[in-house]
Amino acid sequence: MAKTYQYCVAENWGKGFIDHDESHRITFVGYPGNVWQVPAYNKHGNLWIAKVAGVVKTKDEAQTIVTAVIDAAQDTWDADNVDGESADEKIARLGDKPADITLTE
Amino acid sequence: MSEYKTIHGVKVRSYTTDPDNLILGQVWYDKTNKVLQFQGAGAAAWATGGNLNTARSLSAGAGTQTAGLAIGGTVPPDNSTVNTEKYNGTAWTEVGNLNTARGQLKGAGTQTAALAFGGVGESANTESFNGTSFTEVADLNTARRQFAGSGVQASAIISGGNDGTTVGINSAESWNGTCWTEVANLNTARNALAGAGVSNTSAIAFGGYSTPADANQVANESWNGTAWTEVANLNTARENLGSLGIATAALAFAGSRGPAGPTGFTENWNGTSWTEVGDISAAHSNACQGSGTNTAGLAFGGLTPSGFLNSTFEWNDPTLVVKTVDVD
Repeated sequence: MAKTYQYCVAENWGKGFIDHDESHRITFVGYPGNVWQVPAYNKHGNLWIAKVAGVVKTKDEAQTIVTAVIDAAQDTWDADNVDGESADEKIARLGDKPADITLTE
Repeated sequence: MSEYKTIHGVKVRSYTTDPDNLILGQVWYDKTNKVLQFQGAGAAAWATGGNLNTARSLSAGAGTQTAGLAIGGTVPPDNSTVNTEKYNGTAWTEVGNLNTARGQLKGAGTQTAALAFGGVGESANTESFNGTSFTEVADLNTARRQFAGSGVQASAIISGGNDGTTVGINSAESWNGTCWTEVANLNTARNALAGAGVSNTSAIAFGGYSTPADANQVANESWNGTAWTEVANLNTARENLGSLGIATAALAFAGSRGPAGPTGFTENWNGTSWTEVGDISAAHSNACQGSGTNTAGLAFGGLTPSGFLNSTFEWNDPTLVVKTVDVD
C-alpha cells in the first residue's frame, strides 16, 4: 500500500521554519520529539524537508521516537502525586495524562 | 490561440510596482521583475514565527501579530513566572516583568498599553503595562485563574474560571479603566475557557470545562455590556484553549480535549458561527492567550508531552494576495 505520509526529525528554529505558503500548500503535523509529518510523494513536502535539513525517518522509526517521549511523559505524570489529591484534582493540576500517539503510514 | 485582449477586451497593462486598488483576478505585467502577476484569493494558514526566549504555557497575551506581548505564564517544571516578552513580527525581546509571578492569567490591550489580571494562586492582582513596566492597579473582586478575559487597557471584561473553591464559576467582572465591577453571570459556569473582545461591552466567552473534570465545553456566550447570551457552539469541545480577536471575528485554537489529548484545531468565528480552518502544526494544551485579529493573529507557547513550547505561530488570512504566474 502506498504510504500517505512521510516523517522527518527537525528542530523548529522559529520564523521561516514553516512559512505561510508552505503551510497553505501542505498539512504539517508536529509530534513529540521534533517529529514532523508531511504528505508523501509531494514536491512541496520534499522541498520543505530539504529546507529544514530534516532527517527522514520511516514510520516505524518515527513511531519509536514519539513513543519514547510519550512513555517518559506518562511516567512523569504517574509519579507526580500529592497526598490526599483526588483523580479529578490531579487532572485539574497537571492536565490529562499524556495519551498514546499512533502514527499513520 | 486566444489572446487576453480577445477574451477580456483589454490588454495586460505593465507596471513597475504593484498597482493600487487591486481586485480579484486582475492581471498585470511586472516590468521590474519581468513576470506576469495576478491578484488571487488569499489562503488562511499558520506559519512559524520567532521563538520565545522563555518557553511557557498559560500566559496572557496582548497586542497584534507584529507588536505582541507574552505576559507571565507557567514555566518548567510547574512554576509561575514574571517574565514578559514583546514581539516585533520577527523576534521576541524581554521587557519589564510583572510584579507578581503567575500563570493562568489573562491580558488585554496593546504592546504599549496593556492590562494583566488574575492568575494562579487565585490572584486578584491587576497590573497595567505602559510598554516598559508594570504597575499594580485595582484588584479583581473575585480572585481567580483560568478564566476568559478580553478588551483593552481602559475597558475589559472577565468571566468564569476557578476561584480556589469552585472549579468552574459563572461570575463576571467589568473593568472601566479604574476598577472592576461585578456584572451579570455567565449562563454556563466553567473553568479554563477563553475569550475575545474589544471592550467591556462587546465580548465572547467560549470552551472550557465544567466539573467533573473533562466535561469539556463547546458553549459560546456573547456579552453586550449587560447580559450573556448563548450563541453558536464551538465544533470541538476543549479546555485551556487559545483565543484572539474581537466579539464578531475571533479565532479559537489548540487546547486539550481531555483524554483525547491536545489538539491543534483552529476555528474561525464570524459573529454567527464557528468554521474549522487550518490547524496549528504543533498540537498543544495549556495554550497561551493569543493576540491580534482573525486575519493576522499570533499564538505562542503551550504544553505538549515533549514539554513547554517556545514556538510562535502566525496566522494570516489574507483576502487577496499577489501571485506570480510561472511561464515557461
